[in-house]
Amino acid sequence: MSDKIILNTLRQDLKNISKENFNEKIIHQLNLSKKKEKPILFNQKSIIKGFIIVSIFVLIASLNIVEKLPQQFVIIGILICISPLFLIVFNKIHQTIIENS
Amino acid sequence: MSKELVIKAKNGNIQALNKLINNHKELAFSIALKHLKNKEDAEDIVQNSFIIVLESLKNFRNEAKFSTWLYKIIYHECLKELKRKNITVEYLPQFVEVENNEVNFENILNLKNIFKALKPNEYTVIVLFYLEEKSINEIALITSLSKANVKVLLHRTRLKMQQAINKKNIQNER
Repeated sequence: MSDKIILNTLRQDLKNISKENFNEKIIHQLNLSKKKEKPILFNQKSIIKGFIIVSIFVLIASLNIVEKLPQQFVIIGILICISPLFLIVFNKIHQTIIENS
Repeated sequence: MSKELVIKAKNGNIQALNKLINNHKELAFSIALKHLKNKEDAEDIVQNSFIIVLESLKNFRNEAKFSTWLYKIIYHECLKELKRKNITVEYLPQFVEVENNEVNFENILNLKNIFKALKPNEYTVIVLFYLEEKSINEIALITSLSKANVKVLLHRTRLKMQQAINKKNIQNER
């Protein structure tokens, strides 16, 4: 049996969608979800990457500098580590400002 | 061409989005209808699947990738819907049975009727292979079946069609 016959018959046998405005509803829904996307100042992925990189630097530095770190330095180290996470807070502030305006 | 279409659609071009939907909606609907046997349910599944896939359009470089993902979503949404309705899904990936190829096709008059007699997974495999020109690998990806299973299904479906055509020819000769 020729594949061409199967192909043509399959093509003819396809069912049509009778729903009105089928395409329009999809596009409308897409536009809605685009609008719903909140504006951000910093990319979330970059923040996480930054967090990991800074953490590694701090860890290496702390291991190399002194064997026993005073508590002060540990706290400073932790603060430096979480510094990229402050960008998430900035994002939230930015979103709130835009929503309010 | 398909790359351009996807790029335009990514940029929010309404014409491109319409064309992308039109290129696939009939086949998508036919697959969904074959599974769900209900027009409204099938239309809803197809519509939702389009929304899901178009929302992540930025991840696709060309229409082939887009369509593979679309049909995968549709196929699995249909299975989910059937499961939700407590309809036995005998064609879940692990249950591709090797059955007797002899089929009662006495009442089958033409190929269109043969398609009606096909099981949903057989129909899905055959339309993806012939109409969408999907490879065995891609069909396996869409249906989550193994490549061997896809090959078996394809072979079995072709055999069914061949048997029916032969039977019809014999009847015509008489």
